[in-house]
Amino acid sequence: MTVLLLFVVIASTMRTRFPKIFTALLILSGPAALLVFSQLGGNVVPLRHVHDPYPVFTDIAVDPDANVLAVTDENLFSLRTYDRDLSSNLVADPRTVVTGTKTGVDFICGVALDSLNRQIFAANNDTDSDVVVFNYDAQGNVPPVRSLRTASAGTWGVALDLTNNEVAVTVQHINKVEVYRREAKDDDKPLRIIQGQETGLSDPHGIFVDARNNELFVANHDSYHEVLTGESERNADAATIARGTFEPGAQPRATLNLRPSKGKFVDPAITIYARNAQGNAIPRRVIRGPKTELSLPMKIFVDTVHNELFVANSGTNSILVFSRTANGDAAPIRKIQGPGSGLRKPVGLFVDTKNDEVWATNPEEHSATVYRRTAQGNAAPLRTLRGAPQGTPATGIGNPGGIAYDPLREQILVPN
Amino acid sequence: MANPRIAVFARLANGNVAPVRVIEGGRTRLSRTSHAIAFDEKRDEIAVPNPFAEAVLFFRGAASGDEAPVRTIQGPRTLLEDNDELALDSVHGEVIVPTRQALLVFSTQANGDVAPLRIIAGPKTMIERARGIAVDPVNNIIAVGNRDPQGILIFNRTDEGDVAPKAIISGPKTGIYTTKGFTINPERKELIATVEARAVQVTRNLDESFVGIWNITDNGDVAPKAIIKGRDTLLIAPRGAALDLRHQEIFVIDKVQNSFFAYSWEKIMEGLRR
Repeated sequence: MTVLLLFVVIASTMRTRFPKIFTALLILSGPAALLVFSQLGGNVVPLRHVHDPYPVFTDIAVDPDANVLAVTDENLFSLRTYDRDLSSNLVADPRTVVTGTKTGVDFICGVALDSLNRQIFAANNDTDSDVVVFNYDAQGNVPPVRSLRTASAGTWGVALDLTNNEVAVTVQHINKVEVYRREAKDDDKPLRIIQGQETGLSDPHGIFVDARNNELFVANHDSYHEVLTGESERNADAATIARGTFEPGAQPRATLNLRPSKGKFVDPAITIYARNAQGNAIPRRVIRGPKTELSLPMKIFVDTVHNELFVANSGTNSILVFSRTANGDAAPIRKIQGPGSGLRKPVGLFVDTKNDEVWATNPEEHSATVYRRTAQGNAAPLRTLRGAPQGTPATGIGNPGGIAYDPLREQILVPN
Repeated sequence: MANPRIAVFARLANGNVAPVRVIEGGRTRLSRTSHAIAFDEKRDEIAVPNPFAEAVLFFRGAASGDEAPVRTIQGPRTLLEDNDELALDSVHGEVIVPTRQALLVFSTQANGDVAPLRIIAGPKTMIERARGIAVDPVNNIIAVGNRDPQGILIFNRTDEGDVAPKAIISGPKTGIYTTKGFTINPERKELIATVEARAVQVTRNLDESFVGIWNITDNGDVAPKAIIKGRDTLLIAPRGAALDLRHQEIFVIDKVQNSFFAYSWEKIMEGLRR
């Protein structure tokens, strides 16, 4: 009775125009009314909730000597490691899972392993668009060893150059490559950048530094807009809002500058630069054209032992292999593709020359699959690393912003 | 997984389900960063922005797989820049695209390198990095989320040039830190906005962000008349919102949850404050 009286007092003091009938109901029906009240004030339970509860593997890296495999998970915002040689068709048991608000792991995409210092480098694509660094054995909700603010938004690929002690990233939003000292942190400036109209960079994703041949490779998508050398993110304020650091009036208002649009579609390409290229650098070579079969190329990897370039070609559900020195409209020398391969919109990629294997991630299958390095055609994987039971559906929603309803078909539209 | 694509789900989809169809592939010209989408009921088309190519893409309503857009607005005359959002007015056949400091209005039938029909821009407009937009073709308004002043700017649908907003919903009572997604119920004359709480993308706290419902005639420091807010809602960083008027439901997508929710409009209206 005391509880009921308390509810009446609370109800009578609410600012809202609380219907008297609810007060009466409250007294009469007790706990049932409590349920009703829990729905007031907008705390409404969703009727339906479309959500994938499993990790979605994005990028992948392997340290064969340590038998460690690392994957980024952009669905649950986690960084995971597994035994490289795990062989099971069941959901794999991770060695470590780094996740939580202390970790700085957010919409995490690219990953690279520093086998000398036993550290994991991973790039966030949004909110905190930082590269975060963890030791191999980091576990749980722990802060990174260090983090590096590479961009206000849009960092995607990360590549380590242990020969020259550097780390390189791509920044999607501003068509840019940044190269830092390996141990750079916080707001350290890059040693050099590649950016500008002559670079051929367009919505760049995967990156690889070939220290043996002194070259840097970048995978580019088909969406181009002009960004000048040294130009920073025009919408950096959006990142300050995301991080909660924005204060009205603290930043000068941008001046109105309606200028002719320079956006266009270009063919996807792999652009290759001198390793120490900087500024508005012209690529040494460009792999582009219909024979290349490039379509939404994501992670790339150069096998310097066998002089081959591997591409996770998401648009055609395949791994393409080119000569390392390929140029122009060059056809792949082989490819892994077909229903038996298990490849589905591959994003991550790693070539393990020690074990003669090539890995790819299949986000829509919650899996990573591994093949003989020389496999081709409709080759079955040697092993499959699963983040969810085989056949588990995937919503495929990643970092969403918009939603629309189609009343003609009674369907819901969600772009990534 | 942020592959560039538009996923299409059944209205009653629930749990961990695959889309019934997906628009994806190289021919689609989609990028990984399309923060808005609109459906044109009259023409049975889908409109979506591609900011990285400074383009607006239109697809058939039933498009599927690696299907090319039926039209693309792109080119120097379009003035498109940082165009990651849009709103569509199917009654008047117009698509409204916010850039950082302007609203560009195009015909939905526009194709290629075409100039906007109208531009709302200039110091009087107070437009500063628009975040979220909706158009009401019946009551003839455009609502735009704004960075500074933080809040919602409301213009007449046919406004052009350097015009002041007819109303600004802004102030501490609004609860707005930043808005992201908008939709409008013309019949009820209600504006629905997703409101992201400060730093919630970092803290990932439930019970801070909300969806607010205002009257389209509201002006000034006005609290929403109803909200979707609280731990039970599961909202952390709500983005876009869409209404299903026939079934009286609202869909809200959440950036941090990587998921979307369907709520009963009737249930929300039980919390009506004014």
